[in-house]
Amino acid sequence: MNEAGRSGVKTDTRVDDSPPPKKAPDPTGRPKSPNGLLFLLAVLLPPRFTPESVRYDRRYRTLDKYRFIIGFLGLPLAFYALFVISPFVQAIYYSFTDWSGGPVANFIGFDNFTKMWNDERFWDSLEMSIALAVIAPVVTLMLGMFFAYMITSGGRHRKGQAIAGVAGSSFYKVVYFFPQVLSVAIIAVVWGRVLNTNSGLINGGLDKVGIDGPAWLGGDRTLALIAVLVVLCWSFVGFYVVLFSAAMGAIPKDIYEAALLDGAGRGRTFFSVTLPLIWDTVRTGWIYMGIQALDSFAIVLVMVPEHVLKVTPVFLYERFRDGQYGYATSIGVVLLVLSMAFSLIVMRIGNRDRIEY
Amino acid sequence: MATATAPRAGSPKGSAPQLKPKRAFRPRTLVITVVAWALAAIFLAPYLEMVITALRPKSELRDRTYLPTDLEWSNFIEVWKESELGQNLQVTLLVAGGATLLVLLVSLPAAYYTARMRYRGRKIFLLLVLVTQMFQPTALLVGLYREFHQLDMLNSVWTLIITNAAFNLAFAVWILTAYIGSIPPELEEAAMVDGTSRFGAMVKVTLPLALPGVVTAVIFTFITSWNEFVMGLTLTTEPDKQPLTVGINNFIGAYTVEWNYLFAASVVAIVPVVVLFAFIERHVVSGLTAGSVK
Repeated sequence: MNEAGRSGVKTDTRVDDSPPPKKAPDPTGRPKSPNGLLFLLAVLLPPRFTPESVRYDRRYRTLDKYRFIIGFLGLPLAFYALFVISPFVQAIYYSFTDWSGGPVANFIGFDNFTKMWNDERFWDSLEMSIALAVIAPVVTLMLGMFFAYMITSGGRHRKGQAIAGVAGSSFYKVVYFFPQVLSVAIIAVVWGRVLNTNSGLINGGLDKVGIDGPAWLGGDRTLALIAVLVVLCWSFVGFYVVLFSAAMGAIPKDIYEAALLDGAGRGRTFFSVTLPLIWDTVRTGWIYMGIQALDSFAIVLVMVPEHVLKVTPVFLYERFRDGQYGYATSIGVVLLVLSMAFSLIVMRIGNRDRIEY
Repeated sequence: MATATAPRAGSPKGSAPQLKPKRAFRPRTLVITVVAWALAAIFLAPYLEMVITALRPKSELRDRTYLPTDLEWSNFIEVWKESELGQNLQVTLLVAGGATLLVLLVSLPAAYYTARMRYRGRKIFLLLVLVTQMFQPTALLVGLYREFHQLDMLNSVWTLIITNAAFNLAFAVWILTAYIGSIPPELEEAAMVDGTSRFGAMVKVTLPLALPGVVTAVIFTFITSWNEFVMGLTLTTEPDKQPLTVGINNFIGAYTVEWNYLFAASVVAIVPVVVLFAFIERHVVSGLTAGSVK
């Protein structure tokens, strides 16, 4: 700030020599050229102390503008650079080193990545992560869309309406949305209990109808994966219900009326009218959910015992806990590349002609 | 949801007696209602389970009964005495409060500027905000650990305040930009013509109008920071310096889980969130998606 002010003053005194005639038509006849010190003071002090002679000067206005920018944008940008961008850049750098917590970090090229390539445990975890990233968005988005469609147009047709929401729609929205405001750690412990083999709700219910419930989180990888999928779906579906019902609510009612007049049923209306019109939102949601599923760290870490199922972020965390920081960052970089690749693939698959309405 | 009010007044034939017989039996509506209630019940069951388990006596923890024979309220007192719950709660309160304040101080000017000015790099700034939203915390984990390790700030409340603020900044800037952008700049111009300074116009005209957006951003930041887990787990190691979400997991031992204490602590952890969510529920359900859907 100080630096900016001073350099500003320098350029100003230089410019000062050339255009004196421009200042001449000043009607109030203020002092022609305020000196540099006054400028500096005016920039450093709050606006109300700005001397009259400086306030209406064009050069002061320019400086004032930059001060405004630095004050309003510089702080957030600096904050961002320090605590989001910088760790990110460091993560990329340390993925090429063997840093293990000490003062030295030797540059070792792609060694971490070759190690990862040959690491059986990494591939195991990646398999699970990719399964989650592929299945979770599809299931969650479909459920979210179904609920949203039910909420916005599942109600009975009243007179004069082509489309009507169910009664109490806001209640359902809140119920579905609520897991979004809970901590993932708490979601994980609650579901750990619900899925518990002996005293869990689910096996208790199965017991009532005479089925001996399996050990959901007790050993079988596929069962554990299903459990994680259920939890992911439960915790995110509400977000999509809200997102999609907002998108559906933005569709003009006369389009539905036209479809109704043409004899389209609920299903046909959904696939031919609603879905194409909210497709942009669906695609964005798909990408977001895929990234969330790739990053399902806390749920798996807290809910699933280590020997049963591991996803890549948990594998990363274990390397971090062991002090293999270099290796851990390289896994993080791979994860990041994967989520970008996922976004690009979905963008490509989901690319359709945009429909304007 | 605008469909809730039927344009009944407009139609001359729409008298109530004629409609009544038609409403008598509609199997489809009934089925939909039943299914909707059943689904809602499934969605609500885990919360019930949490509250019930928190109140279960120790001897009934392994039972498969849905309801305990009596409610053991002393679980809450015991968990408070026996564990570091008090310290954890204090850390979480400081972190969530501090991060919220910091986010507000930093994001409000940035959002105001971005909404009002057309500067070079505006699009890039907004894109940066969006892209960094996509960074997974686990990918940044080691970088942040290294940064705070060098600053010798591990196990400090400030560390968690700063990281939480940094993670929530993007969302706050985004939602506030959308909100302030929807307030006509003419109002400010009018105030400035009347002699207010640019800053005064911002504080006295725009800010009060943007208050609902500010409240949403504040409460949302508070809730996310309150719930944050990954950074708390990696940047703090001492049990009494950890936030609540991390502290709760200390009840999960290698072989045994103290379910009643675990859930009593969980209930303590979610009560503030429930209360705050009740305040912004209306904003969330309509306003959260304001920027994302046209």
